[in-house]
Amino acid sequence: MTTDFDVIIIGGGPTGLAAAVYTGRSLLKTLVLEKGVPGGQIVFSAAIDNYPGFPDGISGYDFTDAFLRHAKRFGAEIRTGLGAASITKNEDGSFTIGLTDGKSVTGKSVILATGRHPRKLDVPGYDEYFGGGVSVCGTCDGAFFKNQPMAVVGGGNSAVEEGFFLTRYASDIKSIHRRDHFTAQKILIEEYTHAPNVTPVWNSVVEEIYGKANGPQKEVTGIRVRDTKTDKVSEFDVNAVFVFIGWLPNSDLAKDMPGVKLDEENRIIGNELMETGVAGLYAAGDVCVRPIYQLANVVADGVQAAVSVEKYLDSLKNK
Amino acid sequence: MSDFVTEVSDNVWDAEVLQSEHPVLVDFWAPWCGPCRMLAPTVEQVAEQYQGKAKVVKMNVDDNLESPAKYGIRGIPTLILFNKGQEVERRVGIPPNANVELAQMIERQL
Repeated sequence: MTTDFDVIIIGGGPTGLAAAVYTGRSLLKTLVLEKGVPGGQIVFSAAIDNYPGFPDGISGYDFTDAFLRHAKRFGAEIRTGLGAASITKNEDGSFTIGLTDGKSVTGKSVILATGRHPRKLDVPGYDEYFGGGVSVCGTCDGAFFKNQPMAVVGGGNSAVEEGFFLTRYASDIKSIHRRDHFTAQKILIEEYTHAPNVTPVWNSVVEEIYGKANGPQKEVTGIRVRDTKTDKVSEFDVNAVFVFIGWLPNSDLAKDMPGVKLDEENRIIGNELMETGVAGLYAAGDVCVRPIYQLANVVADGVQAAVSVEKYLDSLKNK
Repeated sequence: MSDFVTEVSDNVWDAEVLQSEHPVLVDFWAPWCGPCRMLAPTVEQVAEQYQGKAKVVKMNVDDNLESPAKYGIRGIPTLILFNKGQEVERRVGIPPNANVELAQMIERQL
């Protein structure tokens, strides 16, 4: 089996980069493909306060930068802005990865560390005003709305954490959630709900985002919200709508591969060794079924996947 | 800092962007935007690939207020491609497969 790489890691977030540190240290020729930016979702985080070992917190950018340098130090090749378009298992057991630029690379093994992407709000105005006030990144876009009214949609860890970050900019935050309480970590809820400029709007869903447009320039001016218990509809004047309503797994690449199992939410079902049903193909991190999705455990997933790859490649040599 | 991407300001906007003989891709960013900074090496690669055919510049939206306001920048990263003084395409957020996506945007103007 002659291939370009020993292992191809698809996804350059914390899982993929953790795997790359370990495969690099095992002297495996390693390629990491990242279609977006290194770090994936974690680079959107203004401050990571729950990763053990960083008592003062660390920004998503600094964390990712350190991780990247760590993976590169042990020899991983990291290509950014370039993704995998297809995975093919070859007759000799190796894999061919079709790339989004039309080229392809081959590897003896593959780790899927493709992560998740934010769920869109399926209402009129979301796509139209994305970038014109509709956002999924508080650290990127909060500063554009200093002293302006905002809406935050969602009630989990991401919504509450990002919402709290946005309290430093907003004149007022309407925090819209379909339940009657937040489901985030307690310390995050405490911080957020004690901020003077946050008003929770419980049992409510956004029905429309509206605004004004001038060619490619878009500007949100308000949202229409429905109370699901009373059906009462309210309108709020806001200039920004930050949406954090959950995540969807990036499992499209593997979903049609014979042997790969997905659950009803399209998450990959693996085992504790990060094996899929396909020899040499591993899946780790946020793309998989997990009881929790925290930085520390997706990093551990990457480490396990790397060790499993090393054992798999050893077994090929002994055949 | 960068070999192929120059930083532009409001003062030189007209000369560097609007009056350029080549298409100009402008990357609006800020130091507090982690995703913007992580995208920079990819933008740099595209700049290198198209040197001599298209110009790639970046504008810090903290230091420059006029141009971002004029073009209604309300989220970053925003990448706008200009040709002959006119906006021709824009992308807000991290474009998936930016290497391919940004190259195709530029190719359409060449």
